[in-house]
Amino acid sequence: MLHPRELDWLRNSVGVLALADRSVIAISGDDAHEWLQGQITNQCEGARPGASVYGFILSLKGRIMADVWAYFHDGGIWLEVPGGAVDALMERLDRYIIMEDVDLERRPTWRILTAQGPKSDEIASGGWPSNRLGTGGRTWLVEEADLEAELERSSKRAIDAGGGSLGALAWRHAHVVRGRPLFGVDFGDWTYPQETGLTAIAVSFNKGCYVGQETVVMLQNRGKAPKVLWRWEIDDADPPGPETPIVLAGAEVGRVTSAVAADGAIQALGFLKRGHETEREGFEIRGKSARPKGPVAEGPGVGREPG
Amino acid sequence: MLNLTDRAAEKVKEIRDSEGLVGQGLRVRVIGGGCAGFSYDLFFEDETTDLDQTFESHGIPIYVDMMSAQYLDGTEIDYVEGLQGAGFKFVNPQAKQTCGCGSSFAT
Repeated sequence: MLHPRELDWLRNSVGVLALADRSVIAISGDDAHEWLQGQITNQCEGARPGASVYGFILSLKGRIMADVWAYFHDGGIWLEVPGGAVDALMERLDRYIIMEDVDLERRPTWRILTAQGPKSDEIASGGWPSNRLGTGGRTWLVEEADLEAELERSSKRAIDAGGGSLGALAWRHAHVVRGRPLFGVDFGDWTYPQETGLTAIAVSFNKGCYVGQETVVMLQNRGKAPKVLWRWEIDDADPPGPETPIVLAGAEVGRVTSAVAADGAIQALGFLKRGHETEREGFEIRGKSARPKGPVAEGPGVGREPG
Repeated sequence: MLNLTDRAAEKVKEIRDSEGLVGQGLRVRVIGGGCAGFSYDLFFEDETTDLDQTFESHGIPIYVDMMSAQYLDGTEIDYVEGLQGAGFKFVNPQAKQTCGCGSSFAT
């Protein structure tokens, strides 16, 4: 579970951990930059070495195949991707290399080390900005053989800055509390970008074409998403499991995606079907009162409100 | 094989002459990206490589690399003008889906 101390680190100092469920694909070649621009939902044009871009890789139909961090460096781009999606992504990305000078290569021995919180810049130099919870963050790519030493060094720096080392479960739970949905847990290939509430940080609507864009633009211009991720607070003793129905006046109006005990209540993320956005009372989850705290898009996890 | 319609050929010649590129061929290629996955790309070029197939349509040399050729076989390039703008339009028998603006396609 998420210890209040760990949440405090993320909010006020810094927490560090290795992201075991993420992996790296190296993108190189003279056309790498321009080619990636046609594959990812966010704006990569003008990104210089040292910059990072968060975005989605979509299917042709506009569903989210992966959330990615593109880290720009002198020799190309490192693409941080969900570990479980590497094979499908390699196939998907390789399909759209025709005669461009672009090479894709897995980096299976690389590990992702991240520091999150307002003091993340005090952990080490280098790396790339990667604000994953709305409180600031930085990420480094390290060889597996060096990970233990790097983690130890980073943890010491974090303690000096008033923070510490985060556990994997705490990391996952922190996403619920901060209202920042996780790929593979709260959203995935069953969701469109607009349903995640992350478009402000993951999608550019004026960058031009990319694979899957037509659906995204149509959804944006012609109507609202069928369902949208919201933040919830539940008067219950234990967190409900994924897929637990969210009920209003006896009818199911959504489903929980993740939940955790924190801040003296049960905090949750869950989809709310279109048409119920203005309701504020009467929601129930497992027969317990559930309070909608607002859509993810307006929450602290995407930096829209203090958390 | 790839062909230009009369209107497209006329427009290509007009652009080529106005830009002082007389003698150059038209490079047609497919690149990754665009809403539907693959996009068309057109530009003038005076060099070919061993990987190119060369055609001629209405007296205009056309260069297509061998990878792009797989996606372009049988394609006709037209030039259309309308209230929403003017441009080259690709009629590609291999495209199962095109995006709204017509600049990209899926196979």
